[in-house]
Amino acid sequence: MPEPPQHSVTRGARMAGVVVKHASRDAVRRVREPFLSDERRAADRDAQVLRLADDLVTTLGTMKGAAMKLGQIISLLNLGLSTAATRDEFTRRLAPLFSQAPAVPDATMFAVIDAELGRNRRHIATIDPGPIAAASLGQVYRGTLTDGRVVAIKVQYPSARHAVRADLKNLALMTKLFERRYRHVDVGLSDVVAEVSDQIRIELDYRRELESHDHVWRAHLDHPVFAIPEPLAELCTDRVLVTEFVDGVALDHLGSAGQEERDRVGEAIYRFYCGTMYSTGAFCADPHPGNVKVLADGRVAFMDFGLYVRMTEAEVSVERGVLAAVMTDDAEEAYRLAKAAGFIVDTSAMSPETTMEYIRTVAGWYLTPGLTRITERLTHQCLSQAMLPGSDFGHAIFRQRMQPAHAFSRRTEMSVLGLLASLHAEGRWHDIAAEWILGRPASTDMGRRIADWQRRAGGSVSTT
Amino acid sequence: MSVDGVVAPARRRGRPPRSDLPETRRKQIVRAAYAVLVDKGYDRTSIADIARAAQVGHGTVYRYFADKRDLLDHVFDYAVAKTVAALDLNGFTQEDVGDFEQSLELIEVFGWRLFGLVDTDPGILKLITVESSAIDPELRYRVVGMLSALDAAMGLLFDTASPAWAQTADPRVSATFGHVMLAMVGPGLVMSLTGDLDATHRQRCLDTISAIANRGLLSSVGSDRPVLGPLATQHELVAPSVSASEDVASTPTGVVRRRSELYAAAWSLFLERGYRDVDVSDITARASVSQGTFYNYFTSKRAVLDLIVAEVHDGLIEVVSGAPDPVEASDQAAFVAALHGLLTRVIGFIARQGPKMSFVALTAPGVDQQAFTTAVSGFVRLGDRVAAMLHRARGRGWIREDVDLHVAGQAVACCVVAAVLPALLDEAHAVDVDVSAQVCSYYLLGGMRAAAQVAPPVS
Repeated sequence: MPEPPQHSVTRGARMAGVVVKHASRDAVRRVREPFLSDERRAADRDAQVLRLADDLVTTLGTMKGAAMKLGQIISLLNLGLSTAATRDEFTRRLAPLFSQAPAVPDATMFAVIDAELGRNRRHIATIDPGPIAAASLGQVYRGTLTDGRVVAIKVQYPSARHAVRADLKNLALMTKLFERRYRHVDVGLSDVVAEVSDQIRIELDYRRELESHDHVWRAHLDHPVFAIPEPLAELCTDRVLVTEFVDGVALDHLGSAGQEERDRVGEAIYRFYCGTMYSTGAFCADPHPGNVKVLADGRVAFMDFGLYVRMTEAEVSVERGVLAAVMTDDAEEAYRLAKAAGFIVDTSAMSPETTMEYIRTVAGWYLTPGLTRITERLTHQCLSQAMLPGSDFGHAIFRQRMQPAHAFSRRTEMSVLGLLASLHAEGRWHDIAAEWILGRPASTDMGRRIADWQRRAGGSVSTT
Repeated sequence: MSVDGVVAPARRRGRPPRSDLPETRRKQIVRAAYAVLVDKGYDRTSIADIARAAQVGHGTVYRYFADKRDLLDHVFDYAVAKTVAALDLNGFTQEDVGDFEQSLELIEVFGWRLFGLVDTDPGILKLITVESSAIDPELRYRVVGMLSALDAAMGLLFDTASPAWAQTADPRVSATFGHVMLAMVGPGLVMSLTGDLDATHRQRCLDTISAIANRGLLSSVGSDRPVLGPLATQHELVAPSVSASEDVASTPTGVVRRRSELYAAAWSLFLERGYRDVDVSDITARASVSQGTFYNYFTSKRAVLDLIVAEVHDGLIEVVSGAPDPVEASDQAAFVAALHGLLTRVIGFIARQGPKMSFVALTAPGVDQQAFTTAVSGFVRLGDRVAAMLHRARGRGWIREDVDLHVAGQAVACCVVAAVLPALLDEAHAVDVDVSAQVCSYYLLGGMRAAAQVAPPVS
């Protein structure tokens, strides 16, 4: 039985209390402005964003179609909440959106498979009853083809298309009608909703996912470390996606594995999800523990390319440029690039030094040389130090503009950090990142094996 | 796609409008389209009609909108925005439900705002509810989504305001309570939809709703206020019957198998694609019979729709007739128990219908004017049956003298439907029949405060 909801004024006061505790506990404090006003402003804003969470649950919660997807994405967006505790509270309040709808009966889903595949349906010999996983907007079944291959069959809910489109249209309308209530929250709600809606609409069409999946599969044929399951294009439609079944150990079952193994898997995860961000700019934006498995031969398999992002050359070059400047201690250059790209709009609030400090705090785990163990605590520290209201940039960062295009790459890095934390992985992340950002030679065994493969495969991973 | 013989340019639907085109012109076209749609209905409206009404060229309309369906989306948005503005939903805060008297006042406030809206815009409510719901599945989801959001907003409001009189310990109770309160617009809405604009009738309607909300329908026996004791429970949780949509056995008895199969095929198609987009050939294909066979059993697609509606209607009548007549009870307390039993059976029946009830209540009435009139008059007749029962109960001294029974009868019917609102709006939602029936009974017989105090045994 859920605990009875508390009065929102009480909640707000509680949050303010947490903020005060955080500020006094934290070591990194560069107080330039009156301590209290920053905190109060942050607490007010936090309370507003939390109220937004409640209202989102209200408007989205009863909409089956897009609710879960929207909830997932929104919970990961950096809405500028000032403390880890508030961010946790925000996620917690969105929790009702994540409750799974009861499974749609096999008969209904199999009917979709039949209708979609038509004549090609005959290539599927058997489908095991009962879905093996829920997918966004659908369910996944295990099946066997007539040629003996074992496959994963992702099927979209029959009403997903209509329900999701309807939900997104309602959301757009309601955002317009009620945006006034959140004007102080200052996140450009309409923009966020539009961006998120676009992504979800893309996810509705499995053919888009097939394209991305196929691209990634081809780019990693015979790869020594990354195993991508083969997509079966002839059995794919906009509502059905069939791929080679991956038999491996899930990430959450690696608990008993030794440190060396977890470090190895961690490095593979880091290289796979973040490696292409600074080269081709194309990357999988949904690093989720359910999408990673360790195979018997030691390779790491990656699945689910529903959220595949392609940044433009200009966007990649900005990210690489800024991080390279930070790695080489060039504050002026980092600042110049960030400003030119439109990240910094209020220069009085963000100086070159402040910008440098901020980036170093958020991305410290791979911008600082040395052996670093990723823990939950480190993850929280990264985020909370970056957004602390009592510090210089805590207040300043609220004034800057969130760039939708870069939101995904930053978010993906955060999610990868989360995955590494769950593995307590240790590594020289800086040296690996330097391979991509500064063009340095491979710094680990895995890196060298991958570099060898790249040379043999005829140059680096193909660009889109 | 062909409109008035003119082949529309092949454009992808839903392409965002060009941002360089003047916003004023766009709004002008949407407003004109709204007026035409309300007047003629979606099927009979053409782009030419809209262009004429907006006083722009045919081609101009297509520069802003891909097709009629695209325009409809914008008209829907426009109509909802208008309704929200007229009801001033944005101005509503938790202070408004702070104390009981203030909450009661809201009935008058919103009641008159709704009537005002209907006076300026007679067709608006019908458009954004049943008419849109009948056009295609996506719009149906939009209507359902909007209603869900309204319902949830109601719940959230009471949650955050947490007024002393509405403190409920059980979230199932507060949820049902929210739906029931929302349902109180029902009788006023029906008045508006039947074209009854009489100010005296309107006031009487609001007075009766307020009276029920204040302390319910029961009369005081002597000088004591009636005490609602604990009501019998059946511990019934009705999960959505997914097979109900394919339940061949639910067709009228004595029917040959092929007719049942065609009926079932038609029903699943209406559910998947919406009534309009389904052809007889689709139905026969789904049932794997030849085209002509359909007409051996049904005169038209419309005949099947009428049968589906009749099926639910007849089922409802059967449930009501089969229950003991509450007015035959020995005293007021027994009357209360018997009425509660009846409400429980009806709610159970509605919950078990699943998507069929939703279709009959929300979609079928929007199919055409005739279907709409049938639905509304059917509902009015249902209300009057209840009113007749209440009248007899009043004769025995159990129902208060100072309420309009015609309105009260409809209020009872609305309450019952609202109790299962989430199941109507979300096919996967399971209804707790016990809790819903208890909140309903307490509300109708004892008012809002009584309903909020319902404390079902922890199951």
